[in-house]
Amino acid sequence: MGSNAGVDMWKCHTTSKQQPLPDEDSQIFWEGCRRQRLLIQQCDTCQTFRFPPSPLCPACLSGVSTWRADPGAGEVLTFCVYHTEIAGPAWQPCLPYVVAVVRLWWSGVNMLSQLLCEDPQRVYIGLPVYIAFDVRPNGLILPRFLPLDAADAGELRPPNSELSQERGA
Amino acid sequence: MPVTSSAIIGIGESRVGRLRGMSALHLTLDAARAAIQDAGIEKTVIDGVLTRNFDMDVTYMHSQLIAKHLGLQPRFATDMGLGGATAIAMLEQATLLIATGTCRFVLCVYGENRRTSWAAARHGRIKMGQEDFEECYGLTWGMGPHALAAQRHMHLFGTTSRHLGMIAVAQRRYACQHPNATMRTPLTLDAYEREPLLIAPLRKYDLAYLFDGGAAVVVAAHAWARAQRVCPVVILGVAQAHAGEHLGYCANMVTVTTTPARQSGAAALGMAGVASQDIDVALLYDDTTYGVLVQLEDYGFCRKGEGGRYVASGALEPGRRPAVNTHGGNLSQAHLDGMSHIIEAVRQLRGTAGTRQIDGARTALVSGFGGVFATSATVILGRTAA
Repeated sequence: MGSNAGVDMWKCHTTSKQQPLPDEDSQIFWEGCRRQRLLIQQCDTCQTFRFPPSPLCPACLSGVSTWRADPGAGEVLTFCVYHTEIAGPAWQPCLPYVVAVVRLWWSGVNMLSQLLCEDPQRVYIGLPVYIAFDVRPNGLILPRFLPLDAADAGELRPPNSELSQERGA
Repeated sequence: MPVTSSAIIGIGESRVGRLRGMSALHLTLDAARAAIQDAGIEKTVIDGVLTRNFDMDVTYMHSQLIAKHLGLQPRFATDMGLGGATAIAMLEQATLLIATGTCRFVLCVYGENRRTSWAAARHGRIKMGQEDFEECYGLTWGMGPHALAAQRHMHLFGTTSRHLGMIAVAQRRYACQHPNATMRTPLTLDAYEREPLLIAPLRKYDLAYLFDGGAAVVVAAHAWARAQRVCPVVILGVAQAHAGEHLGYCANMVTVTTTPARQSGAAALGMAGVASQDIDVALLYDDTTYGVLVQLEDYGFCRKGEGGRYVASGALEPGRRPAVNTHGGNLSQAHLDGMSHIIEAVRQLRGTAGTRQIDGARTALVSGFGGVFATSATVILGRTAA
């Protein structure tokens, strides 16, 4: 096998970048993104935050929830760096790109997203990040993240964040 | 004190590899026929049929389709969908069907041609997880989430790419001795490390690629098998555990370094009345090398966080117990969604694994993962005297 032979087997069967298709459960979230607001569901009964959107609270099964605007600051829990266009040819110009799991400090939910940065080598677990909304050709807006300036991070970071623990703060 | 009373009496595999022109149905039927022949039974006695739907060509009432093509009129049939945990879940279902007297002979069969499928172009593919919150970021199914999980493990425990490479090399060594393996070119650690990072921190040989193939087993009552004077492989314990996640949203599962294998493993070992130290052969489900590493910890072969150092100590070298993935696994034999791991366990316990045979293998642990560590299934298999 050649060096990249075999990689195509896991490719998604699309020629353009995959786009989210809002459905009954997620349309409020995507409408929030269009207004550049990161809306996270909070259960009215037990106050648990949940993401992605879902009809019932998995903790208490209540069907009543309120969409709260999360300020969009958090930190990287883990990340990986794509050096291959395995997600489809449309991703080739973006290489290398960083996919990260971000813990949002305000709501406490984990969000999978992309981390926009010039040098993936400088990404690390615990890196403070904040939300950046990215307009897609079909009018949908994707929430992604940018590294957060260390000075700004200080005000937003809760005392129990991974970064503060690791630095003994 | 056997808790379950069922045994695997037949195993079968189709050819595996790039089999352009072979339908998923064809591969499924080839595997089923081989397992029925290996069991030495008339197909008419089969009264249970458990199947796994085709990913590329999802089919309504799939198990009936397979039964029809095999000329079977079973009493119980259903298709099961727990990803890479399906094969072991089938063994559990078969055990329950036999224990309740619902069935006497249960065929469990899998077949896919994900590598060369024509159906994908015709129908598209099955919806995988929470696509709207994952794929739009360029996350690919399978390997991407494993890269996220591996990165976290490396951060917390000092695990290295080289540790993962040792797993790839060890499994390839076994695949080179397997007549029905897709990857039979010897692999060195240097060659592993020369490959660039594909999805950092993972490299080319950390990843299992999809091939075409089918595999099947036939399960029957242990008492029947003994009466036939065959030497059956007994299902000593079997269990599932679910982490409370769908196969994605993987954002939660990839940030914890413990998988539900810990729960399903403890339950299956407890049912079998054996401990991790009693396991001669461990067939650990491997979408990636990292998947093997985390299970070495979760099944108690080493402590949490020490998987890298365990592998570096030579634990996967010949002669050490448990021997791990002696068929080459998904990484180097063939990705048959876990059924190939069961088949290798049966071969090892029968003593028919050829040059890969582990001397005196009496007890095997087999695992399966569905989704990104969302569902785990574990079965403990044992050799009995006829």
